[in-house]
Amino acid sequence: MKLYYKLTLINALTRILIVVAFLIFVPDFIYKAAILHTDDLLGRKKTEFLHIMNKMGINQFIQEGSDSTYADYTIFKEKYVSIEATKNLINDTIVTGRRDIEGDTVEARILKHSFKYNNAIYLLEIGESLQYVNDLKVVLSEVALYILLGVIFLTVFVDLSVMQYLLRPLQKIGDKLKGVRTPEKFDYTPIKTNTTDFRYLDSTIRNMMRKIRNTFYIEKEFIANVSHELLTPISILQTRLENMLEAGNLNEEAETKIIESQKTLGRLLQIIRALLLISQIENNQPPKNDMVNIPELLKEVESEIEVRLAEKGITFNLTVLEDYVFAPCNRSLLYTLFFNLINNAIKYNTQNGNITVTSEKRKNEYIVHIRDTGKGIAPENLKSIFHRFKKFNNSENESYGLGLAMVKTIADFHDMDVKVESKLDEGSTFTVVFKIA
Amino acid sequence: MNVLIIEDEKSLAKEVQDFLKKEGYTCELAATGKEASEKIFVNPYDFILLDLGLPDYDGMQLLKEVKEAGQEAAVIILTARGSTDDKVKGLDLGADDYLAKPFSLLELSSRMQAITRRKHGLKRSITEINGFQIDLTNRSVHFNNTLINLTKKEFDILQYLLINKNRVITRMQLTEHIWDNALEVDYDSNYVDVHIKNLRKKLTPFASVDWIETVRGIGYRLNLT
Repeated sequence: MKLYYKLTLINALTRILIVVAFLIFVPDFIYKAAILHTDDLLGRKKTEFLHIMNKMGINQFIQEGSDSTYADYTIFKEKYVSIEATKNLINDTIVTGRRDIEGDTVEARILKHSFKYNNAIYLLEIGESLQYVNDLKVVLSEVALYILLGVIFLTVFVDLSVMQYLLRPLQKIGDKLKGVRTPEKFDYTPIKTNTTDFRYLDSTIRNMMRKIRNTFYIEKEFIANVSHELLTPISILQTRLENMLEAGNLNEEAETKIIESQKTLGRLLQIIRALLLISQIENNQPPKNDMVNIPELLKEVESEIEVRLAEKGITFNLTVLEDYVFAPCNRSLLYTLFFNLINNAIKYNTQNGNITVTSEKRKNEYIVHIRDTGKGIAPENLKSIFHRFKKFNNSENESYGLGLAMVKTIADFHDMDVKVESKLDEGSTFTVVFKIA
Repeated sequence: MNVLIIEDEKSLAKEVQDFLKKEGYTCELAATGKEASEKIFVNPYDFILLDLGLPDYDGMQLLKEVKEAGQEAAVIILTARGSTDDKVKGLDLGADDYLAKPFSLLELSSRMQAITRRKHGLKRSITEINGFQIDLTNRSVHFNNTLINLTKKEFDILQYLLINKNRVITRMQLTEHIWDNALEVDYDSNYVDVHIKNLRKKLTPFASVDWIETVRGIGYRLNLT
């Protein structure tokens, strides 16, 4: 999940929490405030009523000494006043209660006040309906809910755009890094931002990239120098040996020795070339501009390698049915990869053995299997089979232990997978997996 | 024919010189870019063998100077760097061929011969040996109008032996010549024997092939004396 989505989400969640708390506590608070206000009002009404009664006399409301009661209420029954005779004096109380007024039950805040009047005790009740307060509570809650929801949506929207704007430098840094395969291809222009954290991050990354670029450069220089320094003496030796043979004045023994020396030199040369190639690939030097039809490439390798197959009497079954064009890639490197795999399958095969090459097309993958009927590889050796200078078959074959290392390097260079399965004395299967984007 | 060998490694230059002298070339050496630059402006050459890795001079710059000096010389680049970039750039700048170090001297002289042939116009050259018509231009072999199907490698070997007829070619020299893919680890000169065996097998039904001679322990020779 992107950072700015996360930040927005967290902000939205905290807001929702606050709003929920608000919606839970506010109606109660409003209710209590309304009650207090009502109580205050009732107190004032009591004083006013007693004042009127003292002025006009109680008989205006109730027959003195009788059991009759007096009640008066407004038309919608939201307020009422009642007086009745009672026996005991009580302290003033305000309660919430229900009263039946002409068949309607009304929930009201009621002030009870008892007083003596001409040796009789009366109870005065002044009521104020709570209908209004309850209605207010509901309405306020609803309005608050809508307003707050609106506020949440609005702020989330604002958050998203603000966050996106603020975090854009981070996004840019990420984009810059995503497309980079080599430090040469990195864009070294600083990112425009006044957020110090991003500036720091950007400059750190740029510095690191520069360091890597320099290291790569030094390594490339080193490879170029080594190749020059090693290949030149080999060159001298090779031409000198060639000239000695050309002279034709040597005895047979000397001639044989020179030819043997040439072979040794050839071997040294192959090792150096292989190591150079591996380093070059690891430094991302070879270009990747080719489009290669894999089944066609395999046929090409077959025709190149036919002689070796025939020499060992090996049956080669190439049944790669699915067409697959791999691009962008380096054709000659891919050729080398398959050449080395099939060449290995020949080298470690038995006389008159089999090599079967099949393909498989899956949803996101194109797979080539190369199965041989050779000696197989011991399980303990399988893991390190792709390492440089690993040799397990101490056979008559001249092996430098670089063929499979090169296969692996080429595969990595192209984002491909190479896997191996093997059973001793039954054979090995090398699997090459191309990822279809 | 005059050859200028521009090579800072003196022992290598000397070996190349020794070989080319025997092939009938006149050679001059230049060990530095400065020396080479001076020579290029003074003397006309038929061939210039140019090492790109000179300590005092950019080899590519020298290549430009060759063209500026109005030299008709064919330039063959010799380099240990062996990157495809160099190759493409060199050929773009007008070099005629490119050989990666280490190279076989025989390969070098074969390339020089090929350039000479090219410069003197593409003549269709058909060589007849014992009834076989070998057409180097069309890359085909006929016997009394019957086409004999050879693989690319088989023809390459036959052609190389023919160009260098009457001289012993070692397996290593043949291997290097027919090698397409320099990136491969396992190159074994014994496969040349298999190719020769197949070549003989294809030709024998038509006529004797004892002119393809095996020189025991060394290599092969096309014997046309």
